Formats: sequence, structure tokens, C-alpha cells
Amino acid sequence: MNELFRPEKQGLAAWPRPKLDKPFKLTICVTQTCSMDCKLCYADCTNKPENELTTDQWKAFIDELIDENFLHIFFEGGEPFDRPDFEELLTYIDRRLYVAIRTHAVGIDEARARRLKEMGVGRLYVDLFSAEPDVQDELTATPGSYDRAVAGMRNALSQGINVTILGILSRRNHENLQEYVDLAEAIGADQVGVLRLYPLGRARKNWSELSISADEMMNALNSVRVPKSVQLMQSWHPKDGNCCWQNAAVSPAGQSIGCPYLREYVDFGSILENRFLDTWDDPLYRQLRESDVEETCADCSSTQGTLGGCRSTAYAFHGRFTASDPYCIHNNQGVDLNVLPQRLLRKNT
Amino acid sequence: MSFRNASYAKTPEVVLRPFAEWGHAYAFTPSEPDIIDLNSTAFYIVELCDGRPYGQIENEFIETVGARIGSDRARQQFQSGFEALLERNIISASE
Repeated sequence: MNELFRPEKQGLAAWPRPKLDKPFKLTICVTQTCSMDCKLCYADCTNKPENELTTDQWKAFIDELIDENFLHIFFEGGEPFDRPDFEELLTYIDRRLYVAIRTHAVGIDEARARRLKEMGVGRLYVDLFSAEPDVQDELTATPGSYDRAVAGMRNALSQGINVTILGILSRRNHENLQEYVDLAEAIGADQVGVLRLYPLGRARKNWSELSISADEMMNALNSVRVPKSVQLMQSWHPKDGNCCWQNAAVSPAGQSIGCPYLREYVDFGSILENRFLDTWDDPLYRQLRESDVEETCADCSSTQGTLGGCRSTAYAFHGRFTASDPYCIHNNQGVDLNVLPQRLLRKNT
Repeated sequence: MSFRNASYAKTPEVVLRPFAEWGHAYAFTPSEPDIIDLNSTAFYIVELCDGRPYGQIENEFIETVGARIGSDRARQQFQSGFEALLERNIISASE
């Protein structure tokens, strides 16, 4: 989002959180398929689609969103571009919604970048698990994936499409976060997003290899020098917000799941059987949006205007949606982020 | 023709989503795809742009907002806000 006009009140805490009649942003996890085999994958992607919505079903859902005056749609996967009809869906949207796409970008050649520009795609969020070519290629199990991703970003940028480089903070990149910012500056990307590692999908299975402690995370983030041309986005203390109040997501099979990071924990119903906004009214969904939490961090609340941090990681480590988020160092409560609860480890078997 | 001689309205394809409790709105600009956070001042200017001439829009803004912050400051806020909205094509000359 471009804040051309900055909020007039100082600090979000001065505002009441609006009770939204619909989410600000809706994520469509449009496919579970991906041609790569990434160790950090949350979706546990497969090569073949299973039980995914058809082109016509997604088009009908897009029409529903436009009829309901939605503004912002965010596609992710799997890898959205590995779905053969993905560009058809973008063409169908026809600039009636703001469109952002999370992608590994290895398939963004010059021709595709031109088409995306014509279709009105606003921003690409490109996953790079490391800003070091060899490490990225190893983590994706795909030789050449780093070079192709960087080429994809350059192609998008040359067409005037905004690019955010996303790095999931892990054992494999925490000492090299500066390289993300340097890469962004070198190719002209205006944002770098540092994301937390969620214990989902293959990332959960590879947790002991990938995870780092809360202190290591904070040290990594504090070590980054950010030039004026690049905005660094991160959600650690004091910016650990509960963003359930404004977000929504739908799985490849059409289940309303609140957030892609809640995908293994909640199911608010099928969009094939319900209007999406009926699932938005699910009692658990309402509870997550109400920020009904046991403890909250005053610093994070004051910057984010919400109570409690991420509900996905709170639930992952404590098994309660009302628990504290251990990724906030003030609310960590002694949780060792290197060790997953048995409850999650059992999912790996 | 000076931009002060024209009439203005919200650009037709721009989509606004107000957040009444915050007194601000998001604007989606499809021609240059972006979502722009409008504060209450900018949102108010957009609301005033209903096809009226520039002078009428400016006068009503200064009359309303000036009562609270003074006419000079209100005029300053209006002019910078109006120009920014015009530059981002959120409002445009209506004829």
C-alpha cells in the first residue's frame, strides 16, 4: 500500500480498530502445485493438482468479490504461475481489483512480464530463501533457481511492476540478511519483507534444520542497514501485530482459512457452499479478529493497533488461539523456538 | 486553461473503500495499479469533488475545515491535498 497521505493521528493505538464488514485483503491460494521442491514450503506442494477449484469456480468467486466491493486480492500457492489457467484468471479480473502475486519468479520471462503489466498486476512478492545463489538452489532443490528468480524480478521491474523480495528468516540466511537489502537496491526493488518461519508443511518437517532462536532472529534483524531506496518490512517486536482483523484467505480447494498461515488449524467453510462473507462470520473467525488474548505486548499493540501478535504462531506453540505469540521477545514466555511441540511433530509422521 | 477553471470529480474507475471509524479511506487506482491510504483530509476533498468547479470545492473545504484550524492553514492543506490527488489521478477534471 502506498501511504500518499499519512494518517493524521499519531500511532495506531489512538484509533479504535474498525469492525470490518469485509476483509481489506483476501488471499487466494490458487493452487497447491509447484515445480520446485523447497525445504521451507508451507503448502507441502505437489506436482499434480488435487481437488482444486476449476477455472469457472474461481471466476465465479472473483465475481462475488467484485460484487461485494472487495479491493485487494493477493494470489499465492503453491506457485500460481504453475497453474495453467492463472493468466486467464488475471485477465478475467481486468483491473477490477488490485492484484498482488506471491511467486518464486523463475517463470517471469520478458513476455510474461509484459503481459502482467498489461493485466494490471500491482506488485510481485518474490520468495528467495537465501540471497546467496548456491544456498537458494539447494533449498529449492532446483539448480539455477536463484539466477532465474533474479532475472524474473528484473523483467518485472523493467516493465514497471513493483517487486518485494521476501526472505523467510531461517538458519540458512540469518547471518546474511543484509544481502537481501543489497540485492533489492542493486536491481531496483523498493521493498524487502523478512518473514518468520512457520511450522507448516515441509518447513515443519525440516524445522530442526531451519529454525533459529528468538535472540538470533532479533540480532539478524537489528544488523541490517537499510538504504533510503528500500523499505524493510518485518513483524517482530515491536511490530508483532494480530492482522486477522483485516485479512482472509481461501485454500486451493475453496475452504475459507482466514490466513495462509492458519491453513492447518482452521476451516471456516467452503466458498462453494457459502457466500464468502458468511464464512467471515464464523464464530472462531470473529474471535480471532476480536484479539481475545491472554497477554499482549504494549509496544507491539501501540504500533499495530491490535492486541496479541500472530495467532498462527501463538496457536502453533501453545495450542490455544488466545495464547501469547512467542515470536515477540516480550511475550516469549521461555518458549524455545528451535523446538516444536510434540503435537506438531506428530503431524510429521 | 488553468486547473482552477475546471470542475472536478472522483476519477470514474477509481474505487474507494471508506473506513468510517478511522475517518479515512483506501483508494484503488486501476490505471496505475496501487492502493492509496487517504487520510481524512484527502478523503474529504475527494468527497467534495462531485463535479463542482474548483473554486466551490476550495471554498467549502476552507469554510468547513477553516473553522477548526484557521483559513490560511485550511487553504494550505487543501491545495497540497488537491494537487496530490490530481497527480495520482484519484480526482480528475470532469469535463
